[in-house]
Amino acid sequence: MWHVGGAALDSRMFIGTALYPSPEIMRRSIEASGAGVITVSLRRQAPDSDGGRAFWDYVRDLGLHILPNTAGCHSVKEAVTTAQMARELFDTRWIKLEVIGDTYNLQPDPIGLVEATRELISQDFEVFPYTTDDLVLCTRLAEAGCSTVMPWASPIGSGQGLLNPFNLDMIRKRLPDINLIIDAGIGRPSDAARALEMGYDGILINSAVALAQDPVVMARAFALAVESGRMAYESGIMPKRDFANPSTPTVGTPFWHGEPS
Amino acid sequence: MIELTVNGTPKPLPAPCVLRKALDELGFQGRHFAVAINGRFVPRHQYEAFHIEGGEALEVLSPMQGG
Repeated sequence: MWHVGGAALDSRMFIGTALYPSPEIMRRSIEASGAGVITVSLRRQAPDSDGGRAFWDYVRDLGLHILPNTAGCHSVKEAVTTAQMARELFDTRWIKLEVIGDTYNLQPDPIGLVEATRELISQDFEVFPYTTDDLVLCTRLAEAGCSTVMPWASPIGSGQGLLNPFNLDMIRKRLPDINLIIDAGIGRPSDAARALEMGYDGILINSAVALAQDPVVMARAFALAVESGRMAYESGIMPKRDFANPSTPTVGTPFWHGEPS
Repeated sequence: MIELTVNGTPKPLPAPCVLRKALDELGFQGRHFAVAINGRFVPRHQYEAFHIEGGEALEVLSPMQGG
């Protein structure tokens, strides 16, 4: 059990709701993941469609914590307004804050992100900022009042995995008291396990599950990887050494050692 | 007749009215949406008091899949 944003969670996996082949596969994948938090978004929809009602009913019936995002926002004003709309629509203080600074790699705008974070925290939001793996930026977000910070492993949807483990490790070491969740770029379960082994508190995953040939089984694979990585971290991983050290005892080594011919 | 922009598309309304009536006329009913006007969020409890005069830009957003 761990705590994030005032909620007690069993799973260390957050999972997105986009890109699945069908709503039914989405539902089964979410269940297979064991995730306690799902991400959602807001978009324009024509009133003569069902206006998102079916999706919202589907998601609400899962009974999980909802984390709306501000995906697609490129300015502080857009992100703040979208967050306010999400709070009313989804009835939650939680917001996954995205302020995009580059349309090619969807890299967050660090200046706008900090500004929007401060504004939303002043409005009593629980802000989960999507950020780059920059130590100082993550520190500023924590200082602004975020109890959870979500650095990327690599660009959203790229599946590139942990491109800069050094940065991620440094962030973990320098911010030991806040929740750190890897958001974006994870491609395979071993990426997730590695993040958890480094002491990251959780991962947010979407494309790597939804775009798998079998999303339901992949969701389960990620759940096992996250659990494995966390157990490894808590068990204390042995330090690396620059030399060999036999694991088999050397006492009583048989016949060929130390015997002059 | 007045005109406003709804989710990026020009839409006519018969006359100035409160936001609640405008949303009804535009087909937005129920609780599965949130509204911003000219980039500012308008809480649901203000729908009866907020006046639409024409020329406004409405954003009406609904739940959607997201990552």
